[in-house]
Amino acid sequence: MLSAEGVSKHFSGLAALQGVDMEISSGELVGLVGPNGSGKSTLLNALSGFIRPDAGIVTFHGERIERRRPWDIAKRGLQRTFQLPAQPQRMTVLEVMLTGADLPRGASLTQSLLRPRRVRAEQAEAIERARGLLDELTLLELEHHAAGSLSGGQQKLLALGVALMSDPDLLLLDEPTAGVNRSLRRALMSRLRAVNDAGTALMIVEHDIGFVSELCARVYVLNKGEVLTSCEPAELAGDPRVVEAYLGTRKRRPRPAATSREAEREPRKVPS
Amino acid sequence: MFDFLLGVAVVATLYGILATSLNLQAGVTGLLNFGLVAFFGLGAYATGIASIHGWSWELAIVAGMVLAAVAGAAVGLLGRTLASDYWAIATLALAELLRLVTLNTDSLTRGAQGITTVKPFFPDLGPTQRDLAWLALGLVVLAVCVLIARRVTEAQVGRVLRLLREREALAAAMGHNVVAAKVRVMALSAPMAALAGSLYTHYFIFIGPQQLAPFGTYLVWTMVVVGGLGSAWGVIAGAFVVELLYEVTRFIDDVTGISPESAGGIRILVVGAALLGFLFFRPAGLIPERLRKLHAVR
Amino acid sequence: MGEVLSETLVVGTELAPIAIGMTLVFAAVRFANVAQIQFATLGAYGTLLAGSIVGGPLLLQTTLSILGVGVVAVGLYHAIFKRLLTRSPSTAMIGSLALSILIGALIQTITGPQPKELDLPLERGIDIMGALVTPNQVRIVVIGAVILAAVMAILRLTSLGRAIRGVSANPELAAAAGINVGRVIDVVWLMAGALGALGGVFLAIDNQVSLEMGFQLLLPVFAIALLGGFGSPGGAILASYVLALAESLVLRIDFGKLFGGASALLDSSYRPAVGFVLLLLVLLFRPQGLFGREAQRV
Repeated sequence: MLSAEGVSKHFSGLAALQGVDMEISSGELVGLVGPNGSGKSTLLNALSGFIRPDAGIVTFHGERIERRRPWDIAKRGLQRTFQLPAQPQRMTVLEVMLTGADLPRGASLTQSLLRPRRVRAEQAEAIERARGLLDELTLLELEHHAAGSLSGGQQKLLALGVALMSDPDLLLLDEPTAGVNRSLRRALMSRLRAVNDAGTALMIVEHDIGFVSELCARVYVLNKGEVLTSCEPAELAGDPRVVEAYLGTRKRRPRPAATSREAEREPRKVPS
Repeated sequence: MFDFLLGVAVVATLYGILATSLNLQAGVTGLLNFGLVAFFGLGAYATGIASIHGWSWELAIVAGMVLAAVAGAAVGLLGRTLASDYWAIATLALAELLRLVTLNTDSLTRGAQGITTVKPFFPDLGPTQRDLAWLALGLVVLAVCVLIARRVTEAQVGRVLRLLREREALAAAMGHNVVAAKVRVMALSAPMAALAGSLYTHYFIFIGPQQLAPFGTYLVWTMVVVGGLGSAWGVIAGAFVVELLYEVTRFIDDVTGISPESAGGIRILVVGAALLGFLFFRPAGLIPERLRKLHAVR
Repeated sequence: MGEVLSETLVVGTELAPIAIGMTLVFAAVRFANVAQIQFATLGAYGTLLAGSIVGGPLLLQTTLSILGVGVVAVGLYHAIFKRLLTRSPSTAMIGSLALSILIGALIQTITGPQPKELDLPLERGIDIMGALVTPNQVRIVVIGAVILAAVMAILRLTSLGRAIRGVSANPELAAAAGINVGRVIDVVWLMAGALGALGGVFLAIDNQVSLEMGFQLLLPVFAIALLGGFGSPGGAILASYVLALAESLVLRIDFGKLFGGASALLDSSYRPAVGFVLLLLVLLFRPQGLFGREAQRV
């Protein structure tokens, strides 16, 4: 469904991405991990149209998208979230959800001016869907609050909800667990599994290998702009290249205790 | 006294139209248009130039609005290349450019002396009655503009604009063409300003390059900030309050004995103090924009 | 030919300090300060003020004025811009527009709207390469060149310059590296005010002191800042001369003869527009200007 071939990007001489190849099939749950500065965000931006690659091809549903604007790509069924959702302060949670809906009448200038009643009817349907989604995300009671006044974790859930409004085929998540507390992580994990079960493919870009390992069937490892490997999560700790990539760039972020059963079973191989 | 206030009210309704236009751009969409006076000028001069040649005043108004729509769309398109700070300066500069053109193309615009051949409305009425008629006309036009602004703001069109004013990347990621959105809001709101310009010209029976100076933009910005950026009714309130303030200061030189030229400066200072004061202490304005709580209404 | 060269040098030297000031402030605090153009106006009027209060040679008057405006700039930053910047760069920009108009109004209130001349002795023109140049113009170019070189030297070679560049690139990182960011920003504002005032003094010596000085600079200074790339002082200097050259050339083009008709030159009041049109053309093809970094958004 999504494939990237030879994607490269340079920023003033520095190679952020070098010849990245990637494939995501329909309904897959894929992870993308890598140390700081490995190019994960750049790749995500390149796939979603926020950055134009210097070289390479990205295909989605058979169409080349690497030169398309972000909204074109989103309309085709590829949604993404942001690491810092930074939800707007002057709109309610429910309104933000609606921005993710497809409302052709409401989006048309003439219709919104001349047919306000039809516009409201179309909107009512979307409101019900939005409220349903908010309920599943346990955000319903906050529907009339300013979106920007939610906690960081709640804003991330909201971002997920908005992205789901359009029923995307593929959802790219940018560090969904960053700054999220433990209980919310559990909830997020089960929610993402449910979303995937319902048919949406997911690519989770993460720093926290534990989260990705538990959730994803397959994981890409990025280092210095190149794909090191693509393997099953269980193989990660055993791959010396992966270990070296993470050790070579000292990870400083303190890891929460017992992040996943995986980590408890197989402690990371740290040289003595 | 009554006549004075009546005159102020008439002009305030025209400024209300301008404020509604700017509110759609700056309040709803977050576009820093520092060149609003240019759209006003397009309408005003369309009317003025038409009057020189004896062309239909109705067509002139329409022509001014169409010109403004096209210019607005073009300026909005510029937002594709320019980030918001630079776009703001570009609008300021484009407005200045327009003023220079009106100042120098004497053959077209009568240059610095301005155009005085404009046909007055309601020529058979006495002065007070004429102002009353104007007030009615102004209020009707204002009401239509506010209705348009509100309908657009409440629908999905407006929602996307309001999202993009705070988080443009989010709006883009949600599938909305942010460039097209900006172009559309400019093309919708610029003609309102042009209409205000045409009406202004018919009211004062005059238009000159002085009316296109940055001060006009500055006055409307003050109205929008004082009234409430983003609030349709707020900016109307702002228009009336600031216009009243500005007109009342007209009497400063009578009251205090300062020379009239210096008094002109004080009037501007008073308005500027209002703008800065509100920016500092009450940035949400007199009638702040409220969160829109939606309910599923069939 | 000689005329074009001399005009380019003189006008370029008058504009460059003002543009550098604008670009430095943008680099350090990340907003486009419209009021920069009024620092020039203040520099000119300040010289008159210094002349009437202190008297003495012109050099003393101008130095006092330049230093004074520098201090005023720092004061304005602390009193107004710092607070507005905590809201958003857009709010600060609106504030700077308001301030520009306020400064003009304040000056008008105090001195009245008539333009004034600096008290300069009459001198004979000098013939250089076929162009008639006044000794003051020569002084402007020489002194200006020295000061511009000094500024570039400070920015490139001293620890202060490094600190400024560090703060411009990344304030948090600079603070972590032990740089006193607050003091650096103060210095930047001092320089911006002083340099703006210097440009104003040059303009006052070459032309006259008027209220319109500031807004006449609007188009050229922003064109220069955008051409040279906001944030690049070297680019600003180069762009100043490029702009001055373009203005000189375009105003000499006989558009009438070009199209086979009667002689038709652009009126000199279009001068400010030349730069802006040039700028629009550059922006269409190279949005980051000649030297600027990636200043455009997504």
